[in-house]
Amino acid sequence: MNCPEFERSIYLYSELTSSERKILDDHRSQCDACGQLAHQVFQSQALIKRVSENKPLARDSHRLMQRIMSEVKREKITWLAELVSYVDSHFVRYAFSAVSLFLITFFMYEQQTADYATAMNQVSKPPVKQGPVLDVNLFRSNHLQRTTRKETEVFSRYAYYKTGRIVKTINQ
Amino acid sequence: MTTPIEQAVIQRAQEGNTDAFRKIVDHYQSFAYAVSFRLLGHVEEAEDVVQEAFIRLWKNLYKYRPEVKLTTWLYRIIANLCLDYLKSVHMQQKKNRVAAQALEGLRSYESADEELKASELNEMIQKAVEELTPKQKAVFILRDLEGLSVEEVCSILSMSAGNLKSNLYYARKQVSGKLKEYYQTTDKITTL
Repeated sequence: MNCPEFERSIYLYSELTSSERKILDDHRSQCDACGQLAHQVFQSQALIKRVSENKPLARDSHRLMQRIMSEVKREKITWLAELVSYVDSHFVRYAFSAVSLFLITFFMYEQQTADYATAMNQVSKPPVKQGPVLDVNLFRSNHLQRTTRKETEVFSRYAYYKTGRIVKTINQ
Repeated sequence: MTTPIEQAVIQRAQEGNTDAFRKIVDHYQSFAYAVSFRLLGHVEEAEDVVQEAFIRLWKNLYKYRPEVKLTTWLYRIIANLCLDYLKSVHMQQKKNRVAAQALEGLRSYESADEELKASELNEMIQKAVEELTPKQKAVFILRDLEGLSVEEVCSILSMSAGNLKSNLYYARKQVSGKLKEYYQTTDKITTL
């Protein structure tokens, strides 16, 4: 080891391994200048250590604590308020309205599609070959006949009420 | 070095319990202030940094994992805040009035004579530290004044061991030189 190397390493003495320290110790025992430098560095480090043991204290640690905690609580409230205000904002309101509208439209569309599909299924169903069959045309014609007879009867009663004569115009 | 706080307290604070967080603040406040003050050399700014550091800790506490020491995390927050502050132009303007306030933090000496000597020494070191670059200052304070290990300092400042040693070498050399100069000019060479 030479003197410039020693000078570079002595300031990092506490970071060196024991074998590296041994090399430095050997050199300083042989070189007066490096021995003096090492002495000065170690004394500086001792002074620094003395200073390190006296930690600076806050002027009023209680007040500092209050400052921190009030800010922390405000931060907590702010966080909640932010969440609430976000939920309560116009954007969220419009977003919820849009989603609701979409869901209603979707529901109605689904219902219509389902009704249409049911109707289509009924129409396209092949006629049942066995079992009771409702003849729609027969039902319709009977219904029409009955309606016409009723109307005629009503008319006839009205005529009797007016004229005092019974008019029989019932179609068979 | 500060003794670690119970995990149960940290866990309660993570769940949003402000009383548990108060215990954390109470436990680490003095050490947080000491680091901030040493890095900034200014009482008000150090208090502001401590406050901001604890607010950040509160906000990010849900991310905390027990594998990492809480002090390392807090050191990192403080160091980052202080380094940002030191790099700002604002701090450059205040640099001149720093030394005058540097003594305000020391109150633990019993006799007046002892207090004077300690204050003088502290002021000297504070002055020497003020002339370092922000990185050299952070490395020197964390390693030599706070007594953290090389690994911890590397983790806090996110730097390699080589980079740390390089900064530490220049910092120690400069502080040592300033101390020597001071003691020679004031005939106090007996101590050095």
